[in-house]
Amino acid sequence: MKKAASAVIASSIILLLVSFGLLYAMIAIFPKVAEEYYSPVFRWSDAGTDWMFYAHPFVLSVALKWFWERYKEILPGGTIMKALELAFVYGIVAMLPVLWLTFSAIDISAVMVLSWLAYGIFQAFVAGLVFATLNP
Amino acid sequence: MRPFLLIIVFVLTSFHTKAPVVSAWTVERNSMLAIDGSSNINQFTCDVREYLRQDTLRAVPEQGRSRYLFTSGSKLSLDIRRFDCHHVYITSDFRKMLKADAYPCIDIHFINLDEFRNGTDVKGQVMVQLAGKRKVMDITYRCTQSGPDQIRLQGGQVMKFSDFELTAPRKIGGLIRINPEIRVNFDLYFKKLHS
Repeated sequence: MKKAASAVIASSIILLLVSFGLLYAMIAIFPKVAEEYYSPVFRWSDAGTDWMFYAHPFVLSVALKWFWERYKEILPGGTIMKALELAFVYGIVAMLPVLWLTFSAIDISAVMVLSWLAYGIFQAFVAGLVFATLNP
Repeated sequence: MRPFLLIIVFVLTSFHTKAPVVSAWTVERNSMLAIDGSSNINQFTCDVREYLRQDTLRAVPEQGRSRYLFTSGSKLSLDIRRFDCHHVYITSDFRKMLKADAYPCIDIHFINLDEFRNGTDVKGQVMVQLAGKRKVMDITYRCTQSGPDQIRLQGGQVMKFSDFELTAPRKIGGLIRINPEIRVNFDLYFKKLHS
């Protein structure tokens, strides 16, 4: 239990840093794509909702850890393969249908949706690396 | 007897006091105002390139000083919904940020202006009323004669959103943020009215 909790905490902190790094990289490399965040569909930041944004890596870590504990035995290969498998399962099962629905209902570009898919898959890969290392 | 004398003195001196000459200037259609802003991802300009109102500024020379004082009601009024930021999302955020639904206009009340000569820089004060808040600002204008009885005032002024108790918007947890300073650039054309 202690091992699982430390894996979740480590994954949360690493995901928080990686997520910020990715978002800042996206802003720096693809500012035109980032301009879409001005859209009214994205709420203005305030104290009431900012914490939810920053808590996202923790929520994701807990969810992926739950999945990891249940299915890690059937994930094949070594550390990187297991992390990749977790990432693609998460991307295909969890993200793709939701993003499909999001794109159909909300006025955002396909590029933005694809960036979220790539972002989510990469986050799950990083979490998978942490779990496979700390709590194989 | 004494009050009677005082009245006579008052009446006589009144005839010697010249009424101040009021000059009136109408704002011309080709006047423009632009707001330059920036965020951590890009720069933007929101502008109004046409002045559709028929506003008139009235001024009197200030005694003992080479400047004009504007009468109350000498103001420019700009409809915030007419500002175009040349980016649909930024235009929408700009209106929301300036609380255009509650306060649809930016009013610029002219207070005073140094006596102007063609091609010189002159100073003046305006009171800007935005989102329900007022702030007096010192402005430096470039003054040029653009035609007979026409003058052109150009200039700029750096302002902060906080001057008007406005908050610069931030998105996705503050990772995308509008910088708190904006620069207001104006290019105003006036035509003198003859009574």
